[in-house]
Amino acid sequence: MLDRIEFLIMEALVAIRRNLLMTFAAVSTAAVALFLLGGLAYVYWQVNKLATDVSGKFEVRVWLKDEVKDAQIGTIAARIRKINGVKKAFWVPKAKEWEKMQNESPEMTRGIDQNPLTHSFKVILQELGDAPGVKRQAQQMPEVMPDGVVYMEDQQELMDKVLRIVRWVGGLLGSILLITAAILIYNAIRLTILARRREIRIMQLVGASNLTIQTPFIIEGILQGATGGLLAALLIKAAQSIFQNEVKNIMLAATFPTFPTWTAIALLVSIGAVFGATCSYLAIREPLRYRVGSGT
Amino acid sequence: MGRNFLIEKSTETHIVFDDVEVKYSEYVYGLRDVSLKIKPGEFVFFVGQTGTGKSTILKLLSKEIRPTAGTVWLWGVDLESIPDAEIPLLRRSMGIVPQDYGLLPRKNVFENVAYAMRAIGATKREVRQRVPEILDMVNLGHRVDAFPDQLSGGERQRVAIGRALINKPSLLVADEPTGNLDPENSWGIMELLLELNRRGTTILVASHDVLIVERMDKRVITMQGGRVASDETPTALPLESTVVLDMTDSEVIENPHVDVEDGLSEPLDSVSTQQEVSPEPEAEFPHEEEATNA
Repeated sequence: MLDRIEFLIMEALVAIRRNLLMTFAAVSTAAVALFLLGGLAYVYWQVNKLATDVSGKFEVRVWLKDEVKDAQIGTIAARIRKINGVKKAFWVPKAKEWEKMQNESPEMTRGIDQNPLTHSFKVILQELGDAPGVKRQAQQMPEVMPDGVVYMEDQQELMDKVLRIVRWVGGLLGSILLITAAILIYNAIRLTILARRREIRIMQLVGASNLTIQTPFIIEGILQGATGGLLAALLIKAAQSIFQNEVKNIMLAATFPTFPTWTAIALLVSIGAVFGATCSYLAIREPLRYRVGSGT
Repeated sequence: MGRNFLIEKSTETHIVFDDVEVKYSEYVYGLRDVSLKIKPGEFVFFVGQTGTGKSTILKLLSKEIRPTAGTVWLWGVDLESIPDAEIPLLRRSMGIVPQDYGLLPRKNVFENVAYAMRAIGATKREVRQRVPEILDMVNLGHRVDAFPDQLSGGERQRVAIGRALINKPSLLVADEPTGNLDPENSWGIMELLLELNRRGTTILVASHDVLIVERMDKRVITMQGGRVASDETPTALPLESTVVLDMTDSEVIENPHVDVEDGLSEPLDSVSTQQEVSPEPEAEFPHEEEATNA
């Protein structure tokens, strides 16, 4: 059995060696395609997770009108707290908020002498689904600015949009490249068949089984696809750490989830292997059929 | 995995062609109404000009070509009844020597034979044991390390024959085995085939080498336009006495029906062309796993 496997694998390796350039093209294209698809899938996954995390800390901001005086805050707070679905409400004094904003983004606030902000409340919801109801009721209060109730609606939409773009761009680019990779692997296998037509003919002549004749080509396809997948996983890992370092240079506080290196490698290598096997299977189906003609 | 063709069958006829027709298109025939019977251990030449159907007959046996009408029987098995998946098994029951040798240029003599053995599932140990035996049998024991481009035409043909022997076939099919060889080498190849024949292998040779065919004094089936034009079985036996090693004698070409040794001419057109065909379709053979053949 081992003897058999050795023969088949050696056959596949000989084929790859004879056909290095095509193998290189096939592997690199598969790598880039899987890099794009895998990388964007990772980004998508992260953004998605971020979106979910944000929803967990869901809060509604209620901006009051400019003329509201400090003395009114107590009663307004009490009324807000009475709204159904509100868990907690914190007063955010406009001076404090302004100070915070100036500290956080000095460029943005430079040159503005007067505090443009108004008092506001940070409202923590009991449940995410309460947001629209809370917004409606708070909006009815006379002290609240028109359109002064802001929650993550916009951000949520933005997140959605980002996700959709990531999905589309990734899907489209990745698919195009995947098709290219498929054609290249298919071609590489066809070239191998051409380069090895003597061997194939002899095998058919002496009565080698279809499995024996076909398996080396499938192994070749699997090796090409899997190598592409491995390279893709490493590329994603590299891209992620570069991105992470860049971001950390700007925002020291930024934290990133650990990149699941082994999962990524296992996943992309297996996807690549299945992909390569499929491509090579399609490539050998026709030319390796027992058929009329001596094959010369 | 279906019928096992590797087992010697006890049927009287090894090969039967029953009204076989191969039609390439509406008006182009490869073979027409060919009926033949070949007994186990026979040595048969198929002669005729290019395109008369000699190779077609050989290719029908390995199912490289399918008949459009009629039946080809091998050991009593209708070849049409063999599914494509079992063609490898069928081919393991015969040795096929292709016209162009079909050697791998980057492998030496030993490796060429070893490769074919490995391809049909032999282990490395079996290869180490059997390949030298085969190469000795074809007189190439001293050339194991040579590459095909270092070999003479005759030696290449011997490698091809050796490779055809890996399955210990009961049938050896050779298409123009002396096509590219000088008379001396041609004769050497024929002696080798004779020796294999003596050991019981049925040998079918397509050839246009009239000289060789005449000197071999074996059954000769002449093809013409896809039909069997004549089927002659020599009367003078045994074959040893009829073998003439002197290849310089060329007068035989002038009269293909003259036997060199005794000058007898005995065309036997009517003998086997119209033989009644009685295959035994009920003869089924034991079921055996493919693995046991390897």
